[in-house]
Amino acid sequence: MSDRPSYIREFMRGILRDNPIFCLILGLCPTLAVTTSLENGLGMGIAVIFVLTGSNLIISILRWQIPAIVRIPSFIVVIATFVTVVDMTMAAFLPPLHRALGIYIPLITVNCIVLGRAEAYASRNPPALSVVDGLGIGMGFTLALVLIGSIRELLGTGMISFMGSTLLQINIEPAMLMILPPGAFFIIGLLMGLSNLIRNRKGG
Amino acid sequence: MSIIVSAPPHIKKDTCTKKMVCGMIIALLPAVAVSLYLFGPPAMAIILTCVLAAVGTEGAIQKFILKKAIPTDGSAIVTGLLLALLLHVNVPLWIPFIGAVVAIAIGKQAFGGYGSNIFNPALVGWAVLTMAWPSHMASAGVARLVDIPPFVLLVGAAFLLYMGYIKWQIPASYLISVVFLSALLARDASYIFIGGFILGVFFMATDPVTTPLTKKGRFIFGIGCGILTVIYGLYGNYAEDVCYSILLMNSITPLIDRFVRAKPFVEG
Repeated sequence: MSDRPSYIREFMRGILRDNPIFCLILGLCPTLAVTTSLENGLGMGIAVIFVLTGSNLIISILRWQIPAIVRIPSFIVVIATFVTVVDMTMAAFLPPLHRALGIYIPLITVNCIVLGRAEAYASRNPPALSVVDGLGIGMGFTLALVLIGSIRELLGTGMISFMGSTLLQINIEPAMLMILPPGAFFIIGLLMGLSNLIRNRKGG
Repeated sequence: MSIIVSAPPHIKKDTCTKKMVCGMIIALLPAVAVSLYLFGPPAMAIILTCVLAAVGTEGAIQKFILKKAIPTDGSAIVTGLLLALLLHVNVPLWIPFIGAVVAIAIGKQAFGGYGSNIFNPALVGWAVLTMAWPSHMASAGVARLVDIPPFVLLVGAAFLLYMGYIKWQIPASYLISVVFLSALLARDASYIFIGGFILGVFFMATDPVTTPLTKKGRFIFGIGCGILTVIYGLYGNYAEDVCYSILLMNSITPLIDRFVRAKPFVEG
């Protein structure tokens, strides 16, 4: 378990085989709500990477100290601490992003990915592996959010902008549907179908 | 006298999907013909785009994603025709194309093909287009392909009813509940004589796949559509009311079927 390839494998597992959005189907609420643009998706993803890695580390260190019977409240306290840090940092340094993500930053506390990894992984594995798991799952989540956000922004507004500059512009009539909530369902559904198709082709 | 002993289902009629689909196409032909006569080449282009895109999408999905040959039942043609009739005459041709692709790919094939879809595919395509490009889908003062003398559609509807391809319970309860509720709320219900409404009531609210299986269920479906149409009518225009109320009732059809069961022949 402690040789180096295993760390890389654990990291890649979070992005591919255990991708939280497309494979575990966890944390869909923020995914549906904040992926109206690449920027929002990336911001949310980075916030989740930080919270997930931090809470995985602390919970893994404390895994022998936390009594099983009160583990969920204990996990939530740890997670809430990191969320508060993210919330205040973002409010101080990135106020526009903080406004755009709104209630979904505090809601990371009850994000089932974070709690799920604490319960299923960090409370049973050593700290180093738990950190790698947090980074991997967080990265998988971020990549999914960035992908969904980019597609929605591109089709919904005709361009992708990042930090005030336009990255990509296509000459189409913007489909308003894509930046409305139903657009998120359509894109997530299609991407999920595509990822299942690819995995079935590989597996079969 | 011969007695046939066999396992259920005991099918006596020779009605099959192909015949019903053919019936639908025949019933829509008068409307399509009159629409072509009234609106000319633009209508022709829209109808052709819709039908070809629908049939092409279905074929492409079966060939490249499902990778098996499925006997064609022609239902994609009906979807294409219904979608085309709902569009405005002046839409750019990529609108019917995208609408038909979405209708077949997401409205139908994503759910498992004909017979498994929850929503009427043509209405799915229409709803996506309406939400994505409202400016093209709600051009005030521009006719839709379905804005033709209503008796043309009624001829098709009468044919479908006569052949038994659609059941009378949904149109009847839909129309009666709309008229009754409009009278109760003192609302104008003259739109029941407009082509778009008749198309919705007789051709889309009666789709056998997306409506309840039992008679009682169909009454509930029709009345639900009527109530929703009148309620939406307090806020929107009639064209959207009809489509959205049918879509919404489509979504609770499995629920209706679950709670309204046909009476078993033998009580256990």
